[in-house]
Order: sequence, then structure tokens, then C-alpha cells
Amino acid sequence: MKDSVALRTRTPDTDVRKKGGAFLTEIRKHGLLYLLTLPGILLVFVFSYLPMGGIVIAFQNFNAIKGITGSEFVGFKNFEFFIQSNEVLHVIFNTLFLNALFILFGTCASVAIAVMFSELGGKWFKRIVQSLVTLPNFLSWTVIAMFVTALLSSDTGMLNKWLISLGFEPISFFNEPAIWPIILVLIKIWQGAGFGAIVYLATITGINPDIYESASIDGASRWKKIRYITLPLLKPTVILMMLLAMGGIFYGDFGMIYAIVGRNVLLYPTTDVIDTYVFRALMELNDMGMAAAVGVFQSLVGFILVITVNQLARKFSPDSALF
Amino acid sequence: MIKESSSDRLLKAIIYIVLSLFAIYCVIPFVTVISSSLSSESSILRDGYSIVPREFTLAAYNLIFKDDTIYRAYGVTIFVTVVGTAIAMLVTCALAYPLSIRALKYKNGINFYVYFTMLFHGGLVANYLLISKYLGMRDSIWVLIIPALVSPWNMFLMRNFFNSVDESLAESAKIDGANDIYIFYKIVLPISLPALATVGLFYAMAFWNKWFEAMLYISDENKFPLQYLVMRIMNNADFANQLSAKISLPNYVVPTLSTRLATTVVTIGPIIFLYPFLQKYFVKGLMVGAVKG
Amino acid sequence: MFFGDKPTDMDLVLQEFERRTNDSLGLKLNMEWNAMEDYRQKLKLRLAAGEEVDAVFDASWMSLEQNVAQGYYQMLDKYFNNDEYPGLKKAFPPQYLEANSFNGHLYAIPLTQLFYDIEIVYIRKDLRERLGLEPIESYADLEAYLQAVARAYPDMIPLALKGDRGFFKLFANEDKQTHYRMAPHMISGVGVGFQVVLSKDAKHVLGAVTYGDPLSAYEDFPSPLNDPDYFYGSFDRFVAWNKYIQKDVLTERNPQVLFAAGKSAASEAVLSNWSEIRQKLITSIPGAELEGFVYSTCQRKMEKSCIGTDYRAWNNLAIPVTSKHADEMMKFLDWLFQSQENHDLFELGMEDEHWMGAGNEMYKPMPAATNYLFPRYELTWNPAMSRISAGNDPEAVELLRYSADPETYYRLPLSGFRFDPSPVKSEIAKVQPVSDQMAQVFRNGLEPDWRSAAAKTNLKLRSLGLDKIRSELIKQIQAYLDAGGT
Repeated sequence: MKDSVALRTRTPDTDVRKKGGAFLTEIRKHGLLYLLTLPGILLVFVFSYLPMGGIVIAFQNFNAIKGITGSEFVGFKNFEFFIQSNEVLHVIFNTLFLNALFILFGTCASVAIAVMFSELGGKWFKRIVQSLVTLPNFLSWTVIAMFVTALLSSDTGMLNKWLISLGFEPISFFNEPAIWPIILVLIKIWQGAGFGAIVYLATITGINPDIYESASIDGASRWKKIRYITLPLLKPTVILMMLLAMGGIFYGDFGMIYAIVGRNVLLYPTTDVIDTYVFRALMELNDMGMAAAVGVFQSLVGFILVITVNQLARKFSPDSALF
Repeated sequence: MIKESSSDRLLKAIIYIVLSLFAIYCVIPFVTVISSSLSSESSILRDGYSIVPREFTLAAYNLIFKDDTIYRAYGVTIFVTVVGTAIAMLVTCALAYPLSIRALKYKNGINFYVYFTMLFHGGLVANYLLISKYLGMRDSIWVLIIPALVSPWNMFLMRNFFNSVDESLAESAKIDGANDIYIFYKIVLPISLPALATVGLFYAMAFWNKWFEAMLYISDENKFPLQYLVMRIMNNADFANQLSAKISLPNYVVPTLSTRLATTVVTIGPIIFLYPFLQKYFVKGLMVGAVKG
Repeated sequence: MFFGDKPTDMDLVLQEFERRTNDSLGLKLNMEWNAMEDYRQKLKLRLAAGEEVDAVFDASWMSLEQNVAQGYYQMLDKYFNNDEYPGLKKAFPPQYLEANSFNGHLYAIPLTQLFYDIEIVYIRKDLRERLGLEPIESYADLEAYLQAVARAYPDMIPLALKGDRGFFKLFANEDKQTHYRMAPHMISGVGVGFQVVLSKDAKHVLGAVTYGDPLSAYEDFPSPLNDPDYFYGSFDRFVAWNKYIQKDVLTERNPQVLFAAGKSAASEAVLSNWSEIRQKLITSIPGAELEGFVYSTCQRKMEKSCIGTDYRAWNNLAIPVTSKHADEMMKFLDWLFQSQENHDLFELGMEDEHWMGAGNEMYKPMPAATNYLFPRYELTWNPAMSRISAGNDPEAVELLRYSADPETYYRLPLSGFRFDPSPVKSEIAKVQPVSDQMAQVFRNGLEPDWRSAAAKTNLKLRSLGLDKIRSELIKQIQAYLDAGGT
């Protein structure tokens, strides 16, 4: 009885104060939760949003003495060299292609490793091997490049020496652009798969063991359990990781490619990405405005891509959508 | 006890073999790095890298540890890692948990707000101006910590882990009269140990490896973090090589190749021990413990 | 603001400096040492934030030209040729300064010891003797050596080159350049290598050509310049010699390592690498010995007026406009160059501890010298005042002396000219990666049919704006000549 009276007397007021009311109601309901988010929001504001004004450099003829506020505005001129260049479509393709391969195969490898580990029992074997497979992640690309050269060099490489000893012709790896996407993917997997598996491993440990128990009782084999329980439950995490990676899909892995391929022009057709190309184009000019322009381009297209895929994710797996 | 079928055992065996091979494949280059860092510079020049040290020498390590600065750098980095990870975890989890609550109305707004910063940056100049000019954080250890306290990537990961926590737990606690913060702190966090371990590990590694901010903002030698100091030693070994050669001192060959490898060993050592230690939190069933009965 | 590592005994030297100048200058110097790779960026950031830095190192190979064009550095004309600064007047004669000016003004103090770093092909003396060959005195001798090595040691790489350098100045045209600028002395900073030809009286620009330009571009040039092979003939030799170099030459970043490790029998580098290479070689291979073949004929014979130079220093010291202590800084520099004693303190360290005098022009390094390895090209290098180390090999010392002798050089045309890239920034950024790629292939002799490859690339470059750059270059040079430049 009391409630209906309260409801009746409240109605006209609620209509008038609808907008402000919804906000306040929300705050009243989850106030403490919003309070929790406050420090994070603040930090992001100070360190990420405040400096964002610097994006304007991409549209300026930037002069360090005149600063951001004093440099001349030149509209889209800084983008010219990139858009009109000979190679723009080619390097964009390489960037996307290589990154897509990295994301795809990298995820498969990491998930496979995580699943494999979760199936094991031996505590010591598990701990040791788990740590060992993450080791390559700690090596810098310069060091890795040294190994790659030692392995694949035409004159002195280990692989070629072995081929010769078996009676085959040596392969000039560093002169053949076609095989390099594969080589780069293999290197990337070796370097990152073990470490990347950690996330998936953590997710798997969160799965309720009861589900596995009941599946065993029903007579499911190990493989069936993996296929019908583990993998589907990993889906949200996989989708999230891929979404996160997708934003950067227009950013080539400069560190890796520059260290390994360096200035070997013969390999450029399949390994030159946006970042390495721009690095060479601006090497002598040293122009900050032009470099910033390419960055804006890369961010923008990546952003559009993510928004699109995110909408899809929302439909199929709303929990893993980014926003 | 349900007996394992033979197909199950086969699968298990395959898994063991694959993982072992992969592990060996990962370790060999690493062992080579360690061994070569203990080999003499001339043996590397002559015969390349090897799995066993050749002409054993500690010259590269002597170069790195030649004075106190390296120990101070270890101190700085340990401080930054411990303090940084602790604060970062607090702030990140506090940000991620509310975003995992379905009922939260503005959560997508906040999600977008955070994600946007992953893609769009103001650039080096703007950041430099903000930090060194307006915030006056030059030459302060905190410049290595504060700007990095919220990593959007880690935050989304954490949110994902919180998503998998059964909401019924929170609801039953609410009925008992608990407020959100209590639920977060006393209920959700304790069963999220694998998640905390994972994200904590990632943050720890990021803080441990920080060098770029040091390069830009820190000139006081006593505040150099490990990675940065080691990088300078490495660059300067190359550099000193050229200079010393000009004045041609006999037998003074700065060990540059072996030093580069030694720096790898020196900087990753401690962090490697963190992961095995954290593995004890990767135990199945922790996250769902309280739902039973 | 410097890059590199602070020398261990830097403080000792600074103390000595303060002791000596307590009554006169009374200055305290604060030096900041940075990592080399990030130096360029950090410099820009510092300036953008308006921080007070009093002196910075910069160079043509770093960001000097762009920074001057953008107005980062103070004009220093008034401090030179000024009796109030006798040290500077003595150490920096007007001709030296003029060559290092931008549009008639001095923005950065040139720092160099020698005007040229002589190119050398380093040879394994022990191998040569073992193969029974006479000392190498010509390209033919060199080829004989490489062939002998290839026969006797099939696992060895006869000649090791650096990927982006290639054969460099081997087989280069050695004619004296009086009214043209071509390889090996092309005008830098243009994005593409242009050979510039002037009229015989050096008052008009006849044209600028680059790889793959059609024959018609060369028509207006006086003989023998009207033949493209005059400019690019060496490419044929590169192709012929390609069989002597590494198969993976393009990935090679450090051929000296191959050489010092005994994996190659020869390697191309410069005079200043001599000691370093020798040291590495003898410590890794017992019994190995080094010798050098100076491949330019007149340099090898140490003739006068052999090397063309624009007298431009490869390193400079500049004072940013944000500095408030320009006067004091210049006074310090004046002190530094005032006497041999002052100069040597900073360049070499404390006498009798780090070094010992050996006559007027030379010095002997002492064992403690490793404690004071000051990067001289960042502050103190000077043709008139820097000493040569007696610790070098006698052969190298001879060449160093030759490099330090002013009579060795002749002045190239267009010495004072500096290209300003800003009007054609976009075009350069478009053209550079493509031309750079092609150039690397040619420089290593990897393309036997380079003529048609060059012609094809040339068409591509033209569609990207090559001609716009070309005409801008010609325009600027003509303006320079019209204003009385030489």
C-alpha cells in the first residue's frame, strides 16, 4: 500500500527531472563502483588526454623553437609524401598481411601451448617447461637478429652448412623475398608464443573443474573435452586479445623487422612495412610533422577497423567486446 | 577413478613430446647467449657463438659491474617494480572491476574513453612538455612509475577475468547487506588469484624493463634504472672501442659482442624467477571455489 | 650536451681546468652525456621545451642543416675574427669558417682534425705473403690477390663490404673537379645523388643528372662530361667484381668483424679504422698482420692537391637560441683554443698521466689513457691544434700526416653551397626510399643490367617528383653563384 502511494506521488516529478534523474539514480545505485574507477580515469586523463593536443603536429610544419603553438599550420601537406608515394599500397599491404599472420598463427600457437599445459599433471615438469618456453620473449630483437643471421647466412650459416653436408645446394635466404613472411612468422611465434600462452593458461584455470568431471563421467575423451569445453570457454579471451591486437594492425613491428631485415633491399617487397618505409623516407629530413602524420593515419584506420569489428563482437560475444 | 582410455594416453604423450621439443628449441639460443657472454671476444669473432663457453672469461661482466652504479641501478629498478606494480594493480583492478558489472550504465562510455588512448597519442613532444615542463617530473624516480600506472591493455585483460567471476556471488553478498567495495575487496579479489598473478606479472615486467622514460627525463646517474644503464654501457663499449683504437693502446679490445649478450643475462635474471613463483596461483578451481554449496 | 660515456677521469680534468682559470674565467662546466641513438630526438625535445642548454653537439650527419634552417642556433659571427677572442681567431682562420657557414653566417663551430678520412682496402699481409704476391700497388694487383685467395681458400670471402656502402669509392673517377661536382664528391642533403655540372667559368649551372637519365640530359655538357659512363662507368667494374664479395652483402652491417675473424681476406674501410681493425685482427688470429691499400692513386702516392674538399667539418658545436650564457660559453671556447696547453688538457687529459708529448704535433698515449677517452670531435678537434698519436702504425702515421697537411687538398667548386630541402620536402620523402634502394643494388654490383634498371627507376622517380627536386637544386645553386659564391 505504501509503495503505490509513493509511486503515484513521485510520477510527475520524475518526468520533469528525467535526464538529471537518470544520471543521479545511476550514481546513487552504483556510486561506490564509480568511485573505484575515479583514480584510473584521472590518471588516464592527465597522461593520455592532456598531451593529445600534440596530434596537431601532424598538421604543422613543426619547428622545435616555435613549439606546438607557434609552428605554421599546413593542413594535409605532411600526408602528401606518404599518400602519393610509389609504395604506399604495397607497404600497407605488407603491414596488414604480416600482422594478420602474426595475430592468427600467434594466437593459435599460444592457445595450443596453453591447452597442452593445462592437460598435464606433473608439477615439476610443468613449472620448468612453462618457464622455459617464455625465455625467448626476453631476448632483444638485436640479439635474435644475430642468431637469425648465424643460422641463415648464405656463406657461413648453420642451415646452409648442414644442407651442403647432405649434398644439397645452399639456399640464399637473404636474397629471396618470397619465403620471408613464413620465416618472420616462425620467428615471431618462437619469440612470443610461450609468453602469450600465459593469458590463456590463466583463463583455463578459471574454468569450473566440475564441468570436466561430469564430462568424464559421460565418457568423454581428453580430446573431446578440449574441443567441447576448453576451447569454447576460451573464446571470450581469444576474441578480446584479437580485438586488442587489431587496433595496432596498421603498425608494423619495426623493432623486429629493422633488426632482422635491416637495409637489405632485396627483401623489401615482402617485408617492408609502413614503419620501416617511413623511417627510410624521413631519415635525412628528420621531419617530426611528417612522421606524426603517418602515425595519425595508422591510428585512424586502425580505429575504424576496431569499431567495425567491435560491433560484430557485440552481437556474438558481448562480454568480450571492447565497448 | 575413471580410467584413462588409450587414446587419452596417446594424446598426453604427444603433448609431452611437443612441449619438450618446443622447450628445448626455446632454451638453446638462451644457453648460447649465456655461454657466449662468458667467452672471450676474440673467440666469438673467430668462431661465432657456441653452446659451451670458449676461452672462458668474465671480461664482459667486469665491464658491466665495474663500479657501483650497477648495484644502485638494481636498487632503483627493484623499487620501481615493486612499488609500481603494487599501485598499478590497485588502480587497474579498481578500474576494471566496475566495468565488468553488467548493470553499470556508463561502463561502455568509460571503456571507450580508455580504449581511445590506446590508439591516439599526442606524440613525443607533447608528452615531453607535459612531464618535464608542466609537471616538473624531471630527474624523479616517479617519472618511471606514475605515467604507467594504467595500461589499457592490462585493464581490459583484468576486466575480462572479472567477467568470468560468477555474478551470483556478488548478488548473494548484496542481499546480505554488503556494499560494492566490500564485495570487490573481500569476495572477488581473493578468488581472482590467477588473474591477479597474470596481470601483476605483466605490470612487473613492464616496470622492470623501463628505459625510455629514463633516457628522456633522468640525468642523475644515481637514478638510472637497470635497463637504461646497461644500454648505455653497451653503447659506450662500442663507442669506447672506436676511441681507444684511435689512440691505439695495445691489447685493449673492448668486449662488445660478449658485452651485448652479458647485458641480456644481467637484466632478465631476476624477472625470470618471478614467473615460476607465480605459477602456484595457476591452480584450477580457485575462481569458482565459493559457489559450491 | 654531448653523447657518449663520461670519461672516468673527466672530473680530474675539470678540476684542473677550474684551478687554472679560477682567476680569469671562473666558470663551472656541467656536461651531460647521452646515449648516441637518442641524442637527435632528445636535442629537439629539449629545445621544444625551452630548456637552457648552453652548447650542443650537432653535425651534418645528424641534424645540423635542418636545425640551422629552423633557427635553433645562435649566430656566432661576432665572436670570430675578433681580437677580443684571440684563441678563436688563431684556431679558426676565415677560410675555414667561410666553408662552414650557412648563407654567410656561422651557426656552428666546425670541429675536425683532418679534412678527409682516406679510404683503404685492408689486406691480410700474412696471407698475401703466403700466396707469394708482391705488395699491392694497383687495382690489378688487388684483383690478383682476391683471385689467389679465392683459389687457395675457397671458404673465405675474398672481399667483405658493408651493405649500404658497397664498393664505395673504388674505381671512382680521379680527375680533379674544377667545374663540376660528381661522385665521389656529390652535393649532399638532396635525397638523390645528383652530379652537377657548371660552365667552364663556373658561373652558370649547365645541369644536374642522376642515375638513369636519358642521353639527352647530357648533351649540353662539354666533353668528356657528355658521356654518362664518365659518371657511372665504375658500375660496370662493380658488377665484374661482385663475385668477390659476400653473397649476403646487403645484410652486412659490420664487415670488419668478418675480416678480423679471418672469414674474409680483405675489407673496405677508412684510415681512422686502422688501429681498431688491427687490434681486433691480431688478438683473434695469431700470426695475422694488417696492411692497407689506399686505392686512390694520387692519395697512395701522397701527391699534393690531390683530394678535393669543401673544407666542411663533419662535426660541430652549436649554441641554441635558448641559451642565456652564449658569451661565457664562447669565452670558454676561446680559452680552450688559446694555447696548445689549454687545448691538450681537454683533448688528451692530464699531461704525464694520460699522455706524453712527442714533438710539437704528436703525442704518445700512456697506459692510464683508458681513463680519459674524451670524444674529441665533440669539442676540441681542430686542424691547427690537434695532435696525432704516435702510437699508430708507421704506415698509418704517414697517411695521417698527409691528411693533416693543407697542401694535400684543393678546393671544390660550390664549397659554400648548402641545399635547403624545405621547398621540396614531400618530393624528397617520396623519392628517397626508391632511389636509395636502387643505389644500394648498384653500389654492390648486384644488377648486371644496371643501365636498363636505372632507366626504369628514373621514370618512376620522375613520376614522384624527381624533376621538381632537380630544378629546385639548380635554382638554389644558380642563386648561390649569382650572389658571388664559388
